[in-house]
Amino acid sequence: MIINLKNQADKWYTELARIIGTLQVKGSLRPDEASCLLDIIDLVVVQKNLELLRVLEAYVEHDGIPETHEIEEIVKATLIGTNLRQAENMEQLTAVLDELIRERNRVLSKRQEDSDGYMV
Amino acid sequence: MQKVQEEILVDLESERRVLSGMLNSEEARIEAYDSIREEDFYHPLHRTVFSLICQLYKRDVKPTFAELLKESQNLNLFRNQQEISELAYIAEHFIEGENITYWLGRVKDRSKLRKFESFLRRYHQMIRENQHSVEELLMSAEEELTNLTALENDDRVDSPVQLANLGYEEVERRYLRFKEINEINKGVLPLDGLPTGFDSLNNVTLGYKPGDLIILGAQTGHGKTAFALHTAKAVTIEHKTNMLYLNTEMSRVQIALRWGSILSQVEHEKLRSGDLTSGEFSQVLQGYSHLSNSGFYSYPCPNLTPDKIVSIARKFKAQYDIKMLILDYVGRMEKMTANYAEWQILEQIVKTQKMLAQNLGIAVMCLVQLNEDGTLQGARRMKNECDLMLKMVPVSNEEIEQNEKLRKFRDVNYRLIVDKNRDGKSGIDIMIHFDKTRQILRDAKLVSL
Repeated sequence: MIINLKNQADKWYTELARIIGTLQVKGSLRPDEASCLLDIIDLVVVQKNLELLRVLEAYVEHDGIPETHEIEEIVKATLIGTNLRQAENMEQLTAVLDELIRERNRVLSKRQEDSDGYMV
Repeated sequence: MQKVQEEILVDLESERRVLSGMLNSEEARIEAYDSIREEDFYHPLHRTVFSLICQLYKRDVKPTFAELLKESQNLNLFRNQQEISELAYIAEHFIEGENITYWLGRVKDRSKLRKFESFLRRYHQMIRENQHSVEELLMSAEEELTNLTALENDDRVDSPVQLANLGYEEVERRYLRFKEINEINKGVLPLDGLPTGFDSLNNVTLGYKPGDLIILGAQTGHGKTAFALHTAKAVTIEHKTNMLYLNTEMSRVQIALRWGSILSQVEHEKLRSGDLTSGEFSQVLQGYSHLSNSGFYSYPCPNLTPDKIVSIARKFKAQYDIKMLILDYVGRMEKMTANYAEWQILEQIVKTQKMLAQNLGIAVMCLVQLNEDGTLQGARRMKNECDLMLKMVPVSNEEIEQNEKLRKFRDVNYRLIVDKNRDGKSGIDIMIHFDKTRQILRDAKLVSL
């Protein structure tokens, strides 16, 4: 029986991988960036690593703003620099990312407070 | 006209189905890896994808779409959007594993057809050039056509010259090796295959050879698993060769504990209870370090079928290049057909194992249970199929007292009866010692004069 991918997650997975591959051949993504993103979708969609998904969801909750740019670069470098295929690295990675996201949120809250103060 | 020709000779959709099957099902990967070649695909991209999936499969990496993209990135393949889109199309149109045979058949048929078409073109050209005699042309065409029609990928026909050369080279190799080892090792026989773990059995068999089916029968509780693990120790730890061990009745923990005892020579019961001295504990740890550096791959599987064995063996051959497989034990395997009598089932299993040994070029050992009177159900049929049939039977004290030959050994308590030996002497007994408390086997020691 021929089956077009039956569940939505599989369709998303293929489409995401296709986009990453295409962006890389177009030169919009560096090979290490593409490789990291492909590892992430494998982990989240194929291996169902929900812990990493939770951290990444928290990370993308806010759009990049100039004050948190540096932290976001560190998050990116951490993701690219970690071998995501080794399960033993994952616990440490999520702990580091959690810490960085907390710091980013702290900067955002401070910015919000400053902005509220200015409004008053 | 060109389009019609392509439709006949090329089936891109079947090629995609095979590749998508391989991406999504391990069963399909095993089947395709074994039965199809890169050149059977028409589309160059499909050839590349097939080769990439095979490379990942051999490294035991699940070939997901993302893995495939990464692998192609490392090798600098797929440099345009169309190729990525074709790959995505393949990935998302997958087939169920059991249909793979159908699609493989279609790809192989088209591949044969293309070869035939190219053959016709070539001979048409040769006729036009008119440089060969009719006889020459017909003879050479007949040979090529036979290869194309009658033979599968791996089959070959040996001409008399080829066979004679093969025989000459084999004997010369053995002659030189024998001479060399005779000089170096003062008469110890060189092995042709894997070590058996017993010097006396090595001498009789020259080792377990690729393609050999070995059957070892013993009554229940009389050392079948101990014999299997003793063989495994000789092959994977002492000879550093990879093997697959399939056990149908023991758990992972039970197998691991057996190894602990065999490798440390500490009593098995002590390992089970944990009642160990610190010295024994350290011996056990040292034993396990040998296991961890060995080529022993274990697959405990209570519901094993002959088909499943073939599939697992192919996978381990591709990924770990195993040289031997031990099936412990046949009697516990799932019945394929409920209506079959016990002997028919055993015969079928043993036939499958012999074919497996020959096709993969590995030695296969099957353990079977002897009846209480020491006979084996379906023994004659099993004997026909196997290359070496061994029976491990206990030797009683009364027997030793009555038998002068047995009295020559200091500590014989079991014997291996060589019931059949395709490449050498049979009908002989090999005296061994089986230490049940430590699960250790060895050649029995002779009484010193």
